[in-house]
Amino acid sequence: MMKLLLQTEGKLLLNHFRSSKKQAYATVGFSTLFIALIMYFLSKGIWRIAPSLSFEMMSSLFSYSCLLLIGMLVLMGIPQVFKNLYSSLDLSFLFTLPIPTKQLFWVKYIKSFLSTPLIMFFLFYIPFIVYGIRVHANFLFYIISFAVLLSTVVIGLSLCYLLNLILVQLIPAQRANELMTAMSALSGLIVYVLFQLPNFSSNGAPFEKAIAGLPSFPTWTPFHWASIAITSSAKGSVHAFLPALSIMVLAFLSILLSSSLVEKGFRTGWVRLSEGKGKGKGKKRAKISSNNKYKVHHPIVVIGLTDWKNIKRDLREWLVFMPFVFFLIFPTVGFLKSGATLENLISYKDNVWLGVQVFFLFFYALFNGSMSASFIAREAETVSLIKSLPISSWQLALGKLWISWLLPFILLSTIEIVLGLFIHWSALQIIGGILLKGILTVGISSIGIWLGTIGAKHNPNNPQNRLTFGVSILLAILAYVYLFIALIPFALLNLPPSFKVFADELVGSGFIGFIAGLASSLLSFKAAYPAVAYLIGIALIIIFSGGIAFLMLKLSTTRLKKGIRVAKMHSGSTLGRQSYKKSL
Amino acid sequence: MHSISLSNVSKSYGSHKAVKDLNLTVESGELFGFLGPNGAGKTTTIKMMTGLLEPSSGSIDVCGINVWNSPIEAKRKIAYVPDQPTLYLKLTGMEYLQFIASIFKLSADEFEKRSNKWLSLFQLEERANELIEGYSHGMKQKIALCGALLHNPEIIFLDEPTVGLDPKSARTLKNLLRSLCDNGVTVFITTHILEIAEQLCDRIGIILDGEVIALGSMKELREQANNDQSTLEDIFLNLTGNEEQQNIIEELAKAGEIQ
Repeated sequence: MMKLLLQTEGKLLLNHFRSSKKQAYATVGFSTLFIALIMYFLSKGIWRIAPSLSFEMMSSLFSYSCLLLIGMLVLMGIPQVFKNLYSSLDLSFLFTLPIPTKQLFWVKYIKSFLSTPLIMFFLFYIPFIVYGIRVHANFLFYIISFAVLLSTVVIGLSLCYLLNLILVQLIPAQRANELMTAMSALSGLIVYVLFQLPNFSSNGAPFEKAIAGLPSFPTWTPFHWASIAITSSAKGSVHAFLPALSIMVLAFLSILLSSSLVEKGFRTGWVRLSEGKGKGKGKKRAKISSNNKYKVHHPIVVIGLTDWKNIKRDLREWLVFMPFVFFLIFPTVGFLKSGATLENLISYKDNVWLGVQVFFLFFYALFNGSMSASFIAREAETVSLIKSLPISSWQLALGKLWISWLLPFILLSTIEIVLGLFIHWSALQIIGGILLKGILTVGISSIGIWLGTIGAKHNPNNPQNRLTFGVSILLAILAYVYLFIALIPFALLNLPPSFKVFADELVGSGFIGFIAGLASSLLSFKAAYPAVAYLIGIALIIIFSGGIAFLMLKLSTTRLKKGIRVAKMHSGSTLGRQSYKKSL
Repeated sequence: MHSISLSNVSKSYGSHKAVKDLNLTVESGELFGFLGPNGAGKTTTIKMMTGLLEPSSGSIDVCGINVWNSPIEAKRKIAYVPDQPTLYLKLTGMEYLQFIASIFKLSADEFEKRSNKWLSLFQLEERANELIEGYSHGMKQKIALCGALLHNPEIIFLDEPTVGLDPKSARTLKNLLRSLCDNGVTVFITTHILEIAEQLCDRIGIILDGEVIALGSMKELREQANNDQSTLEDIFLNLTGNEEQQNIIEELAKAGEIQ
């Protein structure tokens, strides 16, 4: 039976590729090329530094490699395994057939193993081989490191299954899908923090010193066994066998443990979650306050309000605000780590204000466009409703623009006001700064709306991901080009004429020299005619942002009138593995 | 002026012609049933009439307005309820109606009066403040119908409206449609339940492979079939080629493969 199921999976995959368009092949090709490039540069780096690293120095690095491998597998694997176990569309069909649950489970397990974990295995094993060749390691090194890394991957994957099989019994059924999406984002955050950890502790120490200084693991941990096994094998020592064998036994036990929960966690868990998706039986009815008097709004207003309600009622939509977490956490951590005090900031409050303005503008450029763009694809599920209503393309575009501009504006302005109160900025600085950025960001948001009409994407299992890859790159480029041009009138308004001295020092050939020359000229003009400079600066900002907004909305409405295509994707399911397009 | 008018309308998907040179008119206050086997072109036609699909050729007017040239004006006059209603699942029923009312620029009083009326008719008042995602298919159908009726449309397009409705709601809908038509509203309905079409519709069109193969009142259809006693089911199955399948079933039964 398992053979049949695996053959069917294989056929489905093959047919999927056969029926895919050239675009899909290109995506696979680019991804392979990308991974190959990473491997090349990683291997090249290892080849260069390997001779300076002794086996003893590498010992802790081997442990950390295994830790990293398990960590990344758990973080990336939990949501992936959840999709495999509980949200595959084929399960509602397969569970009606006389197939033992354990066999279904193993097919899912093998399927999971043959994706990310296998790639991860090679991503780790190939650098190990490169290292072994470079330092002339004993042939045992290749066998033992293969066995240890493979066992580590199995442990990581089994942990993902184990956590899912346990978690599904704890999470309320009706929130499970949303929670898992949130967890995948948190996983990303944790990985990011993991990668940042060495930066917080190393203080720029050389690489070798950093490796030698890594704290070692307690002897009872498998990471320690891994390091002993690999280090000993490199020297051809028989001491490699026992720790390697221990890890393999641990991998086997972890598989056994996860498979022991199959009946309760897999089948019963799936049934529970299916009930949660059902029509209300046993499901808590989400009653929204009925005391509100329902008002009738202008179509543009109601389009924006509907988007807002969609965002606030779906946990997955909140992921759009994830950059704010980075935005708040990392500068705060950086500030606390630097040892600076609030008094230091207050004593340089004008310079801090200027820095904050530029930093916020960069953040708006990073965030606003992608947020606006995502608002177009949100309509993927309601395309036929929107198209059958008398909504003009201008109304639709403006409705999307105002809400996608307002949400980040409120959030960042609140942060700016709080910051301003702490640092004792003047009212003019606070209000002026907020207003200027408010005007400038309309342009960025409108670029997002336009690109949303070009590269909209919708995946019901991953609804926060709404822009195709290529278009999101284009968006990042355009947003920064916009920001760069917007900084010219912004500098004219906000840089004090005394900055001319610094600008003059940098004047010369090249791009930086050109910018410095431009800044110097602007500041000379501002020193000579301050009032005129302010007026011109404000006018330029309004004209530039307003002009771009009008142009982008015009382009958006032209596309909306013609009918835009939302790439609609189903992922993580066998029967639903397809990609089609829906026009809006 | 016809309420709905289709002139030489065709729709192709690549080399496949889903609708071929369709000419059809529906008068004001008429309840028109559009029937056909699966894949015959019913939904494609209804989607072209509601501006969801662009005809490959030909023109469609609703209330004298060309749907593709003046979509906004045309859409103000119509309402469309698809077989699988597309709704904002994260809105409550009431918020959904508020959205529709805002799009059609109803006054607050009109909105309150009409929403109460339709919610009460479809017995949704109790659940109107719950998120639509918690509704059953039938309830989604009902809230979509409430939304469609909210702006007093001149033409209502309904694609399989009774699917998912309980018998009581289905009866309510049938009575409502008849009463709306008696008051001058045009209803264009597709259905596979032939009894409904036979009892309810003033005129019926049968489409097969993108072409209208029969059109008229029940009486006219019976005349075309040369049988006064024919039911709509007889006429439909006769026209859409059921005989072959019937012969195969009889052969299989004779061979003892069907018990």
